[in-house]
Amino acid sequence: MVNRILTSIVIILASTLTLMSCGDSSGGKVESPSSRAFNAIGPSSLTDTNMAIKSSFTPRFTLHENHLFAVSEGGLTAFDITNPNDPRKVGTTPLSGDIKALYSDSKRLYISTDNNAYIFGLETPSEPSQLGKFLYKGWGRVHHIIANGSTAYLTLNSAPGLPLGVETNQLFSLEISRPEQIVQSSKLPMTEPGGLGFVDNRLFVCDGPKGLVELNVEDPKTIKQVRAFADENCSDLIPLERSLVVSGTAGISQYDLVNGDLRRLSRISTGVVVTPITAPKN
Amino acid sequence: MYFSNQTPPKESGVLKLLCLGLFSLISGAFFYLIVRGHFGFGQVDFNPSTLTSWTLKGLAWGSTPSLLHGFAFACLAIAAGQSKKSALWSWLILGSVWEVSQKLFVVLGTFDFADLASNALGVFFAFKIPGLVFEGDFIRKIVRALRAPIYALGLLTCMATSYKQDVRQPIFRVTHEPVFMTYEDLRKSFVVEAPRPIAKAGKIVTIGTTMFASDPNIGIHVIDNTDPTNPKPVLFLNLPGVTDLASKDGVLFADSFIDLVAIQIDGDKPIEVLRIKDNFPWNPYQAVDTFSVRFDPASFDQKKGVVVGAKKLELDVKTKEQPNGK
Repeated sequence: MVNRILTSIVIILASTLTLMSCGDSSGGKVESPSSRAFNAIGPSSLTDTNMAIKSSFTPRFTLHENHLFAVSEGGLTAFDITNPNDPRKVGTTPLSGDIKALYSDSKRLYISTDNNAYIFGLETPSEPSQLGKFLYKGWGRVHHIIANGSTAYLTLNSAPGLPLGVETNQLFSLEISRPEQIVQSSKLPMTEPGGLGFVDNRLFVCDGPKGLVELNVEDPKTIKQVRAFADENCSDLIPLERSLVVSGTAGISQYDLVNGDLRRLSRISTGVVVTPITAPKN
Repeated sequence: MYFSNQTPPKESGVLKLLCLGLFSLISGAFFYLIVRGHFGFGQVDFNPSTLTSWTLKGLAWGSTPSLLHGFAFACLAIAAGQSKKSALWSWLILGSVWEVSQKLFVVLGTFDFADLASNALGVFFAFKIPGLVFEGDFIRKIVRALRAPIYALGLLTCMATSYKQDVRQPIFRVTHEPVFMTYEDLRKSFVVEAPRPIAKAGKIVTIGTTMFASDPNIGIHVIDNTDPTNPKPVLFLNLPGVTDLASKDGVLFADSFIDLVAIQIDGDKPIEVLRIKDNFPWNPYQAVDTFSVRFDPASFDQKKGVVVGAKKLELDVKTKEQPNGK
């Protein structure tokens, strides 16, 4: 018994001393592990006032014929823009959770909230009717969604990400031929996925530092990567008639769609005015 | 020296105790990680200055790790001790003395009755685990040899559960204060300017052969894309808080923090033709780097305008006290 008490006293003294000495080196106070970890990712490199360093844009509205659907407090607001100089608010659809991505095609509106994907019918655009809902197991700060007939593709960009229990940085493909019963057909892990776009039947996805990625989605159950343009740190893309425009930290680049070889045509670099590229790059 | 009225524990009992102890320690760590949002995950925003340890929420948030910690080390103490009772008593006394001693040595952490009580409660739970009997065998010998490190670790980690900054202080250290732009200024900030270098390209839309690229939160680059091999920047539209774009019939729609703005493009010069005010949710983190900036929620005064930037706070280096800490 005496032995044990002695041991305890020694332990208390030893740990007190250890802590005191740790404390001295950090300004007389023990720093908790949490604050140290936070300092490590903290603002040491930032200037006093920082503005506009948020990495990616957030989808906030989408157009459908004569209507514009915009994220608003507590839901989705529809504006009639038949006369675009005079938009009129025609209705608000309440939706719980933050709306993180929007996409519309000729008949439907696709929405991704924190962890639900919704499909709305647009027969009466002022009052979209909910056709289906899908709860996916994933988490992202920024979402992008796109649909192509019977399949919807959704990307979740979660950097730096929740480490446990949920899927982060994923591309999901959702079978939506029966919107009342949406089924997940497959998923593909990505790095920092962003915007999506179709060129004919080819799906292009921005994957942050991995660059622009082309996917083969002929069979949505087995999505395969065809190629990646790694020189591009891209966040969004838009296919035009003649070129595929890609935006990102490098700037705005255009890839040839006329010849189908996706040669880079030009790039407006960030910080620099124009860098035209004349010679084809293999 | 065995107590004559106690039955020695079996090896399985020791294993069970070890598992229980480690499991509850890990749960405590997850509580810190997920629920309390340490290490930058889980992003729980609430105003910690309203949280006191004597409300139910305060107790749950502040003392759950202490309870788990007390329970974990009571279990480990039994596994390493000579008898259940003596192990529990020694841990209870050691833990309590340690906690109370924090009142004397402020440097070690803070003294809190709730922590003291949760430690005792943890020990009580450990005492209530049935089916533990003592017996000297192989695993038990190893664990007994580790008794001193177990106690030392228990007391050391006790610091973490009662560290000064943890209990009723902001989960994240407040690092910046918001820089506001008044609604008046925001609503007259649409200006057509000469082209400027792109900081970061965001959303792109086209009207005819003219391309519009948002530079998130700064403005819109107007680019003549008649020749895709040689696009020419022609204008820059200054529009703070822009992220997303859409176009229809020569009109460009853009967001500007909380407003939706319609810009007429087909004339000589882009004109702001319409502004739908207060459509989008007010988000103080829209224009700042969410990974490194942490505001004090008490500073979110929506009447002051929208948050366009962050000014780094000068912390008192000597004490590292938070502005609204205790």
